[in-house]
Amino acid sequence: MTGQFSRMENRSVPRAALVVPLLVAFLLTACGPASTAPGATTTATTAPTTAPVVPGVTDTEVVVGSWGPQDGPAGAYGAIDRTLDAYFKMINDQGGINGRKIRFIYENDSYQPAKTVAAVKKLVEEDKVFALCGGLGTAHNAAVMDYLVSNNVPHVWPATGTTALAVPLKKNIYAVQLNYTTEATLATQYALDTMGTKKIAVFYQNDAFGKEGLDAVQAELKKRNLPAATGVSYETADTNFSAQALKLQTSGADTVILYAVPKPGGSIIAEMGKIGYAPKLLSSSVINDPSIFQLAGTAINGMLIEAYLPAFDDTSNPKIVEYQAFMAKYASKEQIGGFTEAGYAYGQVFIEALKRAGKELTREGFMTNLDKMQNFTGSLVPSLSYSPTDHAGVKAAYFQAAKDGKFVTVTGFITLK
Amino acid sequence: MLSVTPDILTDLPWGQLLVNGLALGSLYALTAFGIVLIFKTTRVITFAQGETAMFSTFVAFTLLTAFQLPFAVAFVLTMLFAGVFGALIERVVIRRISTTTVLNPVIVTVGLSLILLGAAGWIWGYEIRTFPDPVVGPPFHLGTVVVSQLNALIFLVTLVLMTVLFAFFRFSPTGIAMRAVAENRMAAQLMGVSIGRMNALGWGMGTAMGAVTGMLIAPINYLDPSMMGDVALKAFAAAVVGGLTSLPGAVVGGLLLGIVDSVVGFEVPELRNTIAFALIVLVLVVRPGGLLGRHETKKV
Repeated sequence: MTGQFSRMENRSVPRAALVVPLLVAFLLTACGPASTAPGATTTATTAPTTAPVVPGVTDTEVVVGSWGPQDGPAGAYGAIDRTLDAYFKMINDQGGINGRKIRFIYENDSYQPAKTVAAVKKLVEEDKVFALCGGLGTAHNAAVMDYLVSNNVPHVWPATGTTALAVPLKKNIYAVQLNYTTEATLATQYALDTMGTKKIAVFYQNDAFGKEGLDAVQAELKKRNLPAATGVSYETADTNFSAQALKLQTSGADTVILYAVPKPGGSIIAEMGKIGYAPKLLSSSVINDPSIFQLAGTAINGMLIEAYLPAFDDTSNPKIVEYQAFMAKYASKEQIGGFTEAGYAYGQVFIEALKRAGKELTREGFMTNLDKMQNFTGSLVPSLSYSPTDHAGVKAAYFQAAKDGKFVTVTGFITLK
Repeated sequence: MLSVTPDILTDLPWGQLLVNGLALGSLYALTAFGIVLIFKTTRVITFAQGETAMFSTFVAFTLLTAFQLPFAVAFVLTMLFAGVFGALIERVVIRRISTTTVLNPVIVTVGLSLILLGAAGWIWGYEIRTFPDPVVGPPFHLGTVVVSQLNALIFLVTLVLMTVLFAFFRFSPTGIAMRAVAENRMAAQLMGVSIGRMNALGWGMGTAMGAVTGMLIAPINYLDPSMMGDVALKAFAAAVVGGLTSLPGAVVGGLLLGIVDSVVGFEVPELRNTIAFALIVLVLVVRPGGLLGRHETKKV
């Protein structure tokens, strides 16, 4: 199944595998710590007389990889990689970056971390990708994190909000998405302070993603000396959630916070509706897409969903107009929504990083220049900054309410209290 | 999390758990019934039951959306489709493979399931779709217990199908002939029963049962090529627990697993499959023939 979604071209690049480690070592010493002023877009290194061999880079091409589910319980996220692919096509149509076209290869891991490992090894060792962009999932990123760090493969905007991406700092991993701890804490604070919540239950995925959400809710409650929330978990292989809906109802919670991917998330909302349980609902940004309305039915009305990118249907925002025009031209089969919006934004940030890395493209130069990004506002991300010691990405979010098949923005950007 | 206290019996919302469990169990039972029916008539353990059901459910979806047929009409047409589909599988594939080793049919049916999985993905795509609800409206209340209209329909359909099938096997000449084939192929053949026709009928009916499950579970589990994975596994387990040779056993096994799923899913959801399968191992250790099956011993 892997490879089915890869775009392969018959283009073999001579590679001397032994040279690469030597070269990396050489570049490490050649670059040294960044000493130029922030924002400078100087090329990273002065190349020797012969062009250096960098994985996935030739004079005319740069290979970029990603992974994510194209089917299974989180299959709806498949739109992210497909949109990213379309975005790179648009960039290629415009002539590429610094004379190079982007060859994008994305693998389907069906949201199974074991498959992610195989997919990433293929990308790094067979396809020789220069960098990754948008690899999806918390457990999935965790499964390949050591491997990517030890191989020094840059990964821009992994599609997860796990704090583990940026804490502790990893030189080659650049998080963008608001982390789940901040996100869940914001949800808890908003529920307790603004929505009049008395008792919380959390419906969460039984892995690092869901548990980070649950732990943050519990921590905030503990800080305020309030009783712990009832946690109700599900496994990614589960398909029926009637028992969990009942458990949430009998917990007596007046508010349920969701840390669930689209299919289980939509299903639990529908199931709660079926047994006549209508708590206040809040959700992580991970289901911020119109696809959730179909899955959840009318019981979703009133649910608050966090978002850290501008509303995808807010056509008063010129950046959104641009995104929608892109969708119409390059990804007309995909839906306007949170997932394609994310894919588009990933592309924007990655292309900016590639531009800043300059003509002499190396992994070290790419990362050194990305570390200098300050208050970048040229993408859908309201503002993005990195430093050699901070790869955490965005730190603010706002709430949207689900209303008759649409998301309505109900707050401005909020940061932690 | 695992709080097994003495008052667990009173703490749990037993009524609701039972209703949910029996609804889920009915669906397991219908699928398991199909597996047992196919096994009894053709001596083939099918691993394709989930995927034939999934494929049929996609056909139902096409009838409902592209052709805008009413649910009842699409339901019956899909059952007919599944019947023909199952019979065709038997005619074209199963009949031609050698059953001298147990492994041949296993590999063939596993292969069939993968083929159908890929075919469905290719034809209809992998995205998750919502399947139209056959019944809409407020749920029924029995005291504090809530029975959704869909669950009520599931009970009704299961009850009707089981009654019809019971009567079919008990009273109709064809049903009796099928039972005869299951009991003793040679003797049945000598009595003039067409083994081939009975085999095709067994596959057709078994596949149609799966299709019914698919159409009733899709409104809850959504429609995508992987929709039947978990259900088929549980149904298979139900068939084995019930005794693989016993049709009532499949029903009992299915209902039992549904209730276990519901209760364990409520108390410790992460152990849902663990406890279900531990129970299966236990049953098979204590009663090797399954709950209602016969333990067949072969004389060397």
